[in-house]
Amino acid sequence: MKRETLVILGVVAGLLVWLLVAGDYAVSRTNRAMIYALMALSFSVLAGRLGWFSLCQTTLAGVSGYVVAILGAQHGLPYAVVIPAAILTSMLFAVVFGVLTVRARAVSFLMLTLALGQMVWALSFQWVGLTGGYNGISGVRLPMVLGFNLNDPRVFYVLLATCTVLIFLAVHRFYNSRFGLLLLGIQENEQRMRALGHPVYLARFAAFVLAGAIAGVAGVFLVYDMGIMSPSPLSLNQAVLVLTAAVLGGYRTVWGPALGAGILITLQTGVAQYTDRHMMVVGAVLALCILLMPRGLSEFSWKSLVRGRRATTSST
Amino acid sequence: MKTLKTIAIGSASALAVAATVNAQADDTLRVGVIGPTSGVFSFFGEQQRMGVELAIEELGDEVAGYNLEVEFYDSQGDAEVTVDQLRAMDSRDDVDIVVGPVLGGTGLAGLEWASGSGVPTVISYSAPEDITMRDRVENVVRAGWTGAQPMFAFGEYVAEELGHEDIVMVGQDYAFPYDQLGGFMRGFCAAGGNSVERIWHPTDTADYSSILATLPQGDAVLYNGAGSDGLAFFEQYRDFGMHERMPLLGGSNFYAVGDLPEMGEAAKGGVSALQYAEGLETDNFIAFRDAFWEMHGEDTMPLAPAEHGYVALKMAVGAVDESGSLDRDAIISALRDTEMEDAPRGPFHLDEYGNPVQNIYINEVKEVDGRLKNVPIKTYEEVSQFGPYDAEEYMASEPYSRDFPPSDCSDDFYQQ
Amino acid sequence: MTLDTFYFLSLNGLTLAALLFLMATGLTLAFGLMRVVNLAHGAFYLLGGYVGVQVVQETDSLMLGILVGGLVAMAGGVLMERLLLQRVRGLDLSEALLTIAVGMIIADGLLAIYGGSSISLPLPAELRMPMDLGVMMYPTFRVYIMIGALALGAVLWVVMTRTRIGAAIRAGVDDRETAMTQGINVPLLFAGVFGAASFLAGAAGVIGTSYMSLGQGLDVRVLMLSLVVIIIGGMGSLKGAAVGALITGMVYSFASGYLPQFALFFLFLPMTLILVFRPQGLFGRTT
Repeated sequence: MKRETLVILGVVAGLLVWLLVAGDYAVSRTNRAMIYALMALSFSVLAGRLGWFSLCQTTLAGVSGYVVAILGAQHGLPYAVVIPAAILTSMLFAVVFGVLTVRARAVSFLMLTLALGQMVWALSFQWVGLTGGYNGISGVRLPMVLGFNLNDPRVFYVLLATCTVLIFLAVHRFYNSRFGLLLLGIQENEQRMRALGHPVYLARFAAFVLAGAIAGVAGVFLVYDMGIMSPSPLSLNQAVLVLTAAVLGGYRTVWGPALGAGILITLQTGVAQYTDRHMMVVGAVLALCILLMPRGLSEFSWKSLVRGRRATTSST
Repeated sequence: MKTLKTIAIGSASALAVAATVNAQADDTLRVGVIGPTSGVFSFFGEQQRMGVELAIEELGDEVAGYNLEVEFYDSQGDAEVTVDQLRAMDSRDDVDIVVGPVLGGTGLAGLEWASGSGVPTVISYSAPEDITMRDRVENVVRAGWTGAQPMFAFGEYVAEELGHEDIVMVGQDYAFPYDQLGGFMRGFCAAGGNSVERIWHPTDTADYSSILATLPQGDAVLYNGAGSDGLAFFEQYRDFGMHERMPLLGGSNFYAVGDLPEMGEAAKGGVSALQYAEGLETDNFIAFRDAFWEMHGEDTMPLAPAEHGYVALKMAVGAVDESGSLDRDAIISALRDTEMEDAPRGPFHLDEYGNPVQNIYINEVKEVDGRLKNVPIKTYEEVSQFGPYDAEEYMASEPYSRDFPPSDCSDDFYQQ
Repeated sequence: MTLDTFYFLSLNGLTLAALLFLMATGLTLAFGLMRVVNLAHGAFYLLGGYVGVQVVQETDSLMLGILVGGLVAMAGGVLMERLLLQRVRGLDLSEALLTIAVGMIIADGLLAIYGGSSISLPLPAELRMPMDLGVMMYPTFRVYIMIGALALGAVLWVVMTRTRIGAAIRAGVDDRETAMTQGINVPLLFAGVFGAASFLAGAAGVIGTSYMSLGQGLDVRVLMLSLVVIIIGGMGSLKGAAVGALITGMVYSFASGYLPQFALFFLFLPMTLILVFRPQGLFGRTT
C-alpha cells in the first residue's frame, strides 16, 4: 500500500513537472498520448485479463466522439447531458458488440471485432445525414469554467491527466480485486471456473462494458482535443495503432498501455518529420514486438528474448 | 481538491513561461504547407507539393528581406492528423503563414484550428463553401474555389448550349457533391432546364452495375464525383453500353483530376467545368506548365491542385512583401487584398469574403500532342463563389444538401 | 420491376458474388486448413492488382497479368509464412497480429511506389463487348468472371476431397506429429497452402480491377468484404464461402438497384443476422 502511494505521488509529480517544463507542442502531444493510453488500456482490459484481442475499442471511442459532436456541437445540449450520454452510448455499443461476439474465441474474436469495427467505420463515412460523412462535424468545444478556458492545451492537460491517472488507478484496483482475479482465472481455465460456480458469462460481459466505458471516456477527450469529429479515429489504422501501443508496452500490466502509447506517439512525432511512411513504422514496431517480446516492455526480460521463439502471447 | 488547485496554479505559471519563450527575434519567413502526401488522397497532396516547390524555386531563398523557409506537413487526408500538424506548425515550428489544407474535411478542420490560433491561412484546393461563407473568419482566405462555383456556369452551358432538359445525376453521397449539384441546378434551371433526377450512392461503392440497371431515362447523365468511384463508374457505364443511350457529363473533378489517363481514349468528348484547364494556351499558363515539366518531368501534368498550391504560396509571400513585416494583422489584410493578374489559370482577385473571383472554363477532353487534356471550349469570366447571385441572399438560403435545392426547375426556389 | 431489370440485377449480383468468392476463398482456405487468419489478405489483393495491371499494360496479355499478379502475392505469402509466421507457429493470435503488421507495411509500400491515384485494367475490346445470354446482352468479361469462379470452386472441391494432397493437408492440420511420422512434409505443405491462398488473393486483385478501380484503401475494404462473406458462410468452409458470397452479392445488387443510399446497410444486414442466430456461420463447425 505504501509503495502504491509513492508511485502515484511520483506520477503526479512527474506530470506536473512536465506541464511546467514542456513547450506547447509537447503538451498537446502529451494530451494525445494520454488519450491513446486510455484507448490502449481499454484494449488491455480485454486482452490482458481475458485473452480477447479487440479491434473495435477505437470504434467505441469514435462512437462516443460522434455522440459528443452530434448532441453537443449540432444540437447544443448542455455538457452535463452530452458527456454522460456519450459514455453510455459507448457502453451500449460495447454490450451490442459483446452479444454479437460472445461465442467467439481468440482469432475469430479478432476477426469479428475487425469486421464490426470496420462496419461502423463505413457507416460513419457513408451515413452523411448523421455524421457529416468525410467532412465530419466541426466546432466541438469545451466551455470556460471558473475563468479557465478548457480548450487551452495546458488546461486541457490538467483535466485529462487527472482523469487518466484516476482511471488507471481504478483499473489497478480492479485488477487486484476478486473480480479481476476471476477474469484471469477464466482466461486460464474457463471450465474450472464455471465448475466452481463462478458467473463466467456475467464476468466477461462486465469486463466488456468496463472496457467500453474507458473507451468512451477516451472518445470524449479525443473529440474535444481535435475540435472536429470525422471518421478517421474509427479507421483500421487507428485500431492497429492502439493495439500496437498495448502490445509494445505490455497489455498484461496496468501501466504497460500508457508506456506503449507514450513511446508510440513520441516515435510517430519524431518519424513524421522525416518521412511519410508512418504506417510502415507502426507495422514494423508491431511485428518486432510480436517476434521479440510478445509480452511487451513492461514484462520484458533478456531471458525471454533468448528463448524467444516459444514465448507465448496468450494462453489459448 | 488541493491537488487540483496546485495543478491549476502550475498550469497558469507554465503559460507565463511559455509566452516569454516564444518571443524571439526573427528574420525568417516560415510557411507551413499541409496536404495529404500519403493515404488515399495522396494524389492531391503530391500535386500541391509539386506546385509549391515550383513556386519556391521561382521565389528564391530571400523574399521581402526575409529568408524564406517552407516546410511540408502530411495531413494523411485525415482531420485528426491535420489538427496535430497545424498545432505543430504553430506551437513547435513557429510558422508565420499556413498554405493548405487540400481536401474538404481537412479544410474544415483547418478552419476550426485557424479560427482559434489566428495564424494567417491560405486554403488551397479545399472547397467547402462555408470556409469563405457562413463560417468565414478574418485570417482565412482561399486560393482555390467553392464546390458550387464552377457549376453555375456548367448548368447554364448544359441547358443553353447542349440543349439538355432532363438530367439524371448519379453522385457520391457527401457534402462536396451536394455543393456541386447545388451550383449546377441553379445555373441549369435559370437557363431553361427542366429537371434533375438524383441518385446518391455511398462513397467507395465499387459496383455500379445495379444502379445502371435501374437508371431512369434522361437527356444526359451527370456523374457527380471522382476518384476511384468516378473511374469505376466511367468503366461500367461503357461496359453496359449506356454511353450510346445518354452522354456522360462530369462533375468538376470527374475528368479533371488524375483519372483521365486511366479512362483513356474513351473519355474523349467528355465535358465538365472548372476554374482551371491543363489545355489552356495562354502565355502565363504555358510558362507555368513548361517550368513545371522542367522541374518534375513531362510525365506529370500540372493539374488544379498543383496550380492552387503554387498560387497559394505566391499569395502568402506576396502578402508579406506587401505588408513588409511578419505582423499577423498586416499579412492578413494584405492577403485579403490579393489580386493576381498573371496566375496560370487566368487573372483573379479575392472577393470581400476571401474567395477568388475568376474564370470558369467549360472543358472538353481532347487529345493534344498525343495526350488527353481538358481543353477549354468556353470561358465564363469573373465568376464569384455566389455566381450571379447576391452574396447576402445566397448565404441566407439553407446550405446544399442531399435534397436541396429541389429537383424540379418549376419549384418556387428558382423563381425568385 | 420488369423482367429485364430482374435479369440484369440478378446477373450483377452473380458477378459480384463470383468476385467475392475469388476474394474470400484464399482467406477461408488458410483459416480452415491452418487456423491462420491472414489479415494481410487485402494487402495481397492490392499487391497482386498493382503488379498484375502493370504487366497487362506493358505486355497486353491479360492471362500473363493475372498469373504474375497471383505469383507476386504468392511470393509475398510464402515469404511471410517462412520468415515470420513460422516463428510463432501455433500461437493463433500472434500469427494474426503479424499478418496485420505485414499488411500495413505492404499497403504503405505500395502507396510509396504506385502513388495514390486509382487505376483501371485495360481489357481487350472483345472482352468488353456484350455477349448474348439468351435473356439479355451482358459484357463478356463479366460472364467469364462467373465461369472462372465456378471452375475455381469445382477444382478446389475436388482437390480437397478427392486427392492425396487434400488428405495430407487435413492430416497435417489435425495431427501434426503423426502426419510427420507418416512422411508428410508438414512445413512444406503449410507453405504450399499459404502460397495458394495468397495466389488467389493476388489473382483476384487483377480480375477485380476489370470493373472496380484499384486504389489505396481498397485493401481494407477487400479484407472487410471477405470477412463478411466467410462470417456468413462459416469460417474455414469452402461451401460457406460460396454461399456467403452468393447471399452478399445478391442482396447488395438488389439493394443498390432500388435503395442505393442504403446499400451498405444491406451489405451488413445478413452478417449481423447470422451472428445473432447462428454465430458459427451457415456451414461452420462449432469450436
